[in-house]
Amino acid sequence: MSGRPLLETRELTKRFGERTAVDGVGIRVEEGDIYGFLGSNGSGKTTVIRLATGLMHPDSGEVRIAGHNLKTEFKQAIGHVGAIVENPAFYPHLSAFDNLKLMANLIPGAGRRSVQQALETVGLQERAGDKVRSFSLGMRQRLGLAGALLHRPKLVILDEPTNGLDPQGMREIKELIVRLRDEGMTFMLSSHLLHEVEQLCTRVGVVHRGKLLMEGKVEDLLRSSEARSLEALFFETVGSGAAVR
Amino acid sequence: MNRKLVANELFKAFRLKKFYLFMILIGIVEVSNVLQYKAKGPEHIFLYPNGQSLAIQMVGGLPQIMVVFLAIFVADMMADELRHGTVKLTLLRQVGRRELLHAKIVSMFFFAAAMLLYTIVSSYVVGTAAFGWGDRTVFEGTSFPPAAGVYMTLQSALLSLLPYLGFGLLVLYIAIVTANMGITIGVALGLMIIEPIFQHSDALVNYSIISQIYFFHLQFWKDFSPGKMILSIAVICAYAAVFYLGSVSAFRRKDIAS
Repeated sequence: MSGRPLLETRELTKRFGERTAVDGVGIRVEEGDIYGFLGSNGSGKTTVIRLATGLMHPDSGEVRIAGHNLKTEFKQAIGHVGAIVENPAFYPHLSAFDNLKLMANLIPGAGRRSVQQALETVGLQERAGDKVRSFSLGMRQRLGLAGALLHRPKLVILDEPTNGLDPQGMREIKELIVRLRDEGMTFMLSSHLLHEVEQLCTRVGVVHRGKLLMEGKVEDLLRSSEARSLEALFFETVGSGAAVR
Repeated sequence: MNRKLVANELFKAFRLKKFYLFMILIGIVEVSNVLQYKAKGPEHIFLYPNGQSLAIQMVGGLPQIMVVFLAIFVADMMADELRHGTVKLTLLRQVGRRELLHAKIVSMFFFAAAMLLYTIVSSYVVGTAAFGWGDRTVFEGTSFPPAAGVYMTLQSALLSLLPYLGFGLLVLYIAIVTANMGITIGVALGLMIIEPIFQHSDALVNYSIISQIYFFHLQFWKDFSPGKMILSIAVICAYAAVFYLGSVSAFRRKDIAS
């Protein structure tokens, strides 16, 4: 691992009325990581991802992607990112191919070939001409991943990427993530499925009630605690985090 | 202007079934007008029976349905995308929000232009098939030679685009703020419903964007008054400017939570 940060958030804070959904979160995703962003439902994972991709605006704090400030250098920063944020949404009346082609049109140098390659990568080439409205959630997840990979980004952010996938689909996606990491991509995955993340991730961050409770390499975190698994560590940390409040 | 973004927006628009449904509905209105005239005569429907006159009469009579079509189109293009999250497909690329908004405005303009052009062409076809082409264009009691009639029809359609754009920007602003198709279309229908209040008030009529859609194009060749014309242009431009700036500001600040 080079240790060069691809995604950094500093003191990221987001409030919805009286509620502080994200409270001073500072995460660091390094080049070559498969970074697991862990937290229970409603802990603030997706909000952090939305803030990190510019879909939401923070009340305070900063996001830097590959050294570019997301607010002031949006296009340079977001150009390094491919992302699925929450459910992968597509135009249901268009085919899988047309949906990806619309995305490819906005990427310099990407064309039909890039779309076909992305569909092949996620195993959807035979359904390329089918309308997305006929796709299962698992197929939409794959299509979302194809969209995120279209421009071969440095950093791929996937929000709950195994949602809706059957065990075979989950395994394929995990294998694909590892293969693409070996080809030089960096991943940030949010999940509440801790045993999956443990198998896959090199570093993790745990968020609870909008606060980052811990972050580090999986083996370092396990070594520094008495927990024998990430799941045990998570509940230990979240429990203590809750107790602080 | 990001041409690829505009091309994307147009591609999506022209692949919507609604677009073709609107065309069918316009065709049905035209055929219905012709059939009513043939069945009941001029006492029941105000229509001059020849092909070249039907088009300008339809352009003049289109606002009632065009306002609804435009509201549905804009609601689908913006409110529905915000609600269902498809707007993320674009915003997660190297695209500025203002660029995307401009592409959507261009798409809206093309939609209105395509609908008006279709109305003219289909009215010529339906009117000519039903009554023959005719030797003059008659509208609002005035006769024009055929060439002047065609020119006037096209001019009316082109001039109509300006108030349609002002109205479309108003609807776009509502779509961004509410991210709700029902509310967006409902507000547009509400404006149509309260329109008679404006039309019955000489003091207010010029300040309603719906009234401008009805009457703006007529002012160029019927009862031309420079003062009234300048006021109309100022009112339409004010609507367009206020709701364009409002849309830019609201869209830039919008948190995409879908």
